[in-house]
Amino acid sequence: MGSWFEANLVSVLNGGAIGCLLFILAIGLSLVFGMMNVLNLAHGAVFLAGAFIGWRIGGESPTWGTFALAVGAATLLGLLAGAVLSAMTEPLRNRSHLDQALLTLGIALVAAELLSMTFGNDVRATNAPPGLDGTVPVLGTDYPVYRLFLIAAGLLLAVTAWLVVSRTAAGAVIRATVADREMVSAIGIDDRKVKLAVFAVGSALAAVAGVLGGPVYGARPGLDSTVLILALVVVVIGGLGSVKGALIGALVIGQIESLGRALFAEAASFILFGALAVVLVLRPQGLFGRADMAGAPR
Amino acid sequence: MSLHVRDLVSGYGRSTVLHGVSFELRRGRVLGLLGRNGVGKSTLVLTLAGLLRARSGSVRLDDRELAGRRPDLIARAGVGLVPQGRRVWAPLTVDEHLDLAARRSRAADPTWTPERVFDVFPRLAQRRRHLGGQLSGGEQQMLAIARALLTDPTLVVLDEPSDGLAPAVVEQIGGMLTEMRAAGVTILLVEQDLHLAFAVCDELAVLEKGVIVHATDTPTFRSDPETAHRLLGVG
Repeated sequence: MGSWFEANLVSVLNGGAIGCLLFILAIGLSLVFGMMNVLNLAHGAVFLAGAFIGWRIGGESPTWGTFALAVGAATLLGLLAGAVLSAMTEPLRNRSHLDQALLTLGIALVAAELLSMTFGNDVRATNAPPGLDGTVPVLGTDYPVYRLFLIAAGLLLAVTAWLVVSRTAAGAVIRATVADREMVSAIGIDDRKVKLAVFAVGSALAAVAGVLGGPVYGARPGLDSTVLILALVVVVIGGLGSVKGALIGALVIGQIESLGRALFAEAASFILFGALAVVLVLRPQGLFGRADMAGAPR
Repeated sequence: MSLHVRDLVSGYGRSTVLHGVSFELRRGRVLGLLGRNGVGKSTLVLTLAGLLRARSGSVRLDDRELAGRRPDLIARAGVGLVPQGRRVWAPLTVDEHLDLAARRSRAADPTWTPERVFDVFPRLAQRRRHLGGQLSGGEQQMLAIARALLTDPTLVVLDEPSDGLAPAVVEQIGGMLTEMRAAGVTILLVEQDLHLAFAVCDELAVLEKGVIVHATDTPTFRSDPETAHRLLGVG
């Protein structure tokens, strides 16, 4: 076991880094879907916009200043994009998921085209900021510091999100909305404002995830749909509207993406969707979702 | 100062359930709404609270028109809802339910505080840190009533609060309804339990096929068991 772990340490760490990035991306998708029953397929486009912002502001070799500026700009753009998406999906509130999916997919396609017209079709690779761009020995293997930074950032955000959702009044509104949205409005809370706030924060996190993911993936057309599918799988596996579910789902998918690819290269994408199928068969509501939410739009 | 419902029409999808419901309720009075299963009692409750949109007709509370408005605006206009099935939030503690409801209260000096509710429902006080999903059915019902009261309502609409509960718990709920009435809260009580309805209601109305077919004060209703039997199928 020990030697197996050492042999695959790099893959395991890579999986952890991917998983943490996926968590930052998927938490917004999960909360918006779990709370407001809105399927937002434009979430991946927000991530890609964040990645391009990181490249545009920081170039190939960002300084800490430009990196922080990129994170700030992505946050603002994400908040704005979330607010716009929230407003655009509002008239479809009582329509089917298919209608929402068509609308947000259309927005995603337009956004992707605009990004490709603006930034071109090349991979816009960017380095990690100074200090994070090197490697560090981990159990005798040289490992990129930036990926360890991603793991730390993801776990820090997970703890923060969990504390906000489980301990604050705003978090109580979020949990109540996931559990029974109608009763939240029946005590006088305007659930459109709740939706707007969660949509905006979730999209901001997606855009920041794009900046953080730039040095790993490189901003490029097509990345939006790649990460969107991964995030959707995370949400399905973890269960809707659950921070814990999104974290566990993201870490599992990260390992499948990385370790699966390393060990069973030819079957990697099959393993990803195989895991999805197994979860759907055994626990349709997701590992941490509630049974009464499975396939039951309200 | 009262509730005026006139020609209220409502339903789900293509089916119309309420075919023009009209009644009046003066402030501080308790109206019991009776009727067999499926006659539209819950539809009326959900429409009054705005969770179902009224197709036509009027709902006026203290001269404010509420029909067709959003549920959060109706709640802030003073309508408290205790829905069928209680619908407490399973992942929230009792205290969190009360905090959220009270944050929306408009009054600086609210009529209802957690302490006042706990005086009537001491069992709820012992469960303050428990999650809604961990409570017994009776405790959930107490919590659903407490949640509605902490929004500081002038009208509370309750949909079968005695449903599935032990007689001792129903008695406590009846005690709370009496306390609410004494505090000047107007109450619309949908109930199948005639014993509870007779005990707390000033007036009774019977709903049948989406319209009110009989309305009178409680003593008159009780003095005419034949009509009650004909309309409700009970004695």
